[in-house]
Amino acid sequence: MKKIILIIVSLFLIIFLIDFIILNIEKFEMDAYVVENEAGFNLDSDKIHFGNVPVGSGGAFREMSVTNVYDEKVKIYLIDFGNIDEQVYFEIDGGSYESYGFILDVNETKNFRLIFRNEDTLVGDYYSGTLRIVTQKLII
Amino acid sequence: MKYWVWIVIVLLILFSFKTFLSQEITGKSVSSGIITLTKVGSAGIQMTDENIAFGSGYVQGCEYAVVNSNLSGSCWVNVSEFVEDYHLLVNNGSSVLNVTASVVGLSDAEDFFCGDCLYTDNARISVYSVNAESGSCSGLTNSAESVATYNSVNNVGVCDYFDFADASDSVKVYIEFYVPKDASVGNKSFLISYEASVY
Repeated sequence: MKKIILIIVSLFLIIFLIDFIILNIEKFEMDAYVVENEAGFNLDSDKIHFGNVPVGSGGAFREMSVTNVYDEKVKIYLIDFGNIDEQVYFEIDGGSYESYGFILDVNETKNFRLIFRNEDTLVGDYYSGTLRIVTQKLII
Repeated sequence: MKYWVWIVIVLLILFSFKTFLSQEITGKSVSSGIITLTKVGSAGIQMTDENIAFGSGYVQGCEYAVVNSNLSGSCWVNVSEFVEDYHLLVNNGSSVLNVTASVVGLSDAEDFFCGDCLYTDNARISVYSVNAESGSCSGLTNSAESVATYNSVNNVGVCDYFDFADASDSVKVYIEFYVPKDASVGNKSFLISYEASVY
């Protein structure tokens, strides 16, 4: 009985702390069509569209920026999900990452590129997923 | 009191505290600042010149040969099949776009043809845009415009005002080379990055 109560209390505490630490989660749907011999742009704001990316090309990118609008330093995490996950990575400050975390000062803006990597082996298809930008309180 | 009663009391206090705090956090979340926290900007698609089949050939009788993927040119002798080819750009969205082109990973055109051309200063890579569907674009290139010269690289506007209507939303981009006579032998390829932003 004691163990069960301890587990329940721990779970409640974890849920409480997570909810307290995370300030905001932004979700963006993203997609890409890999097609034959056509570069198609779509800058509609309903999703992050990489557009129609030709097979065997160098891939596609979207320029993005994140600004800290809170009155305290925050930590930002960039994470992606979905069947597009294997192809998407973040290009920040000259490095490439599958996911990335960084600290932003008050009013600081970080620019980065969201890259859709289009290897030679990637077949023509529709790829989609979600980008999550998690803003978290800086604890330490 | 039994210990579990204390635990329940502590949990209740914690959750009432949390409810109080979450109101403040929610208040922050709906501020206009949060809405503009993330901006999604221009889009780019990179294409290799391998998407355009130039085949192989050589410069004959001139300081440099002009080879355009629309089949125009001079002083160029092809030794393999060379057919008209181009990059097809399409506006699939519902915004008018501005599109530019640039080379990726080259410091200049000599970098592509020779590494460093010792005897000539005329290496050049250019783009030449035309409407694939009538009325797709206003502000096409005037002629072949250089994305790379023998000593520099440039951003070139391939379409200043790119329409999105289905019957008029595509542009062809031809690639033109000035191949210097001292170009090194071998298979060569490079990337062109097309970058679109909302007009």
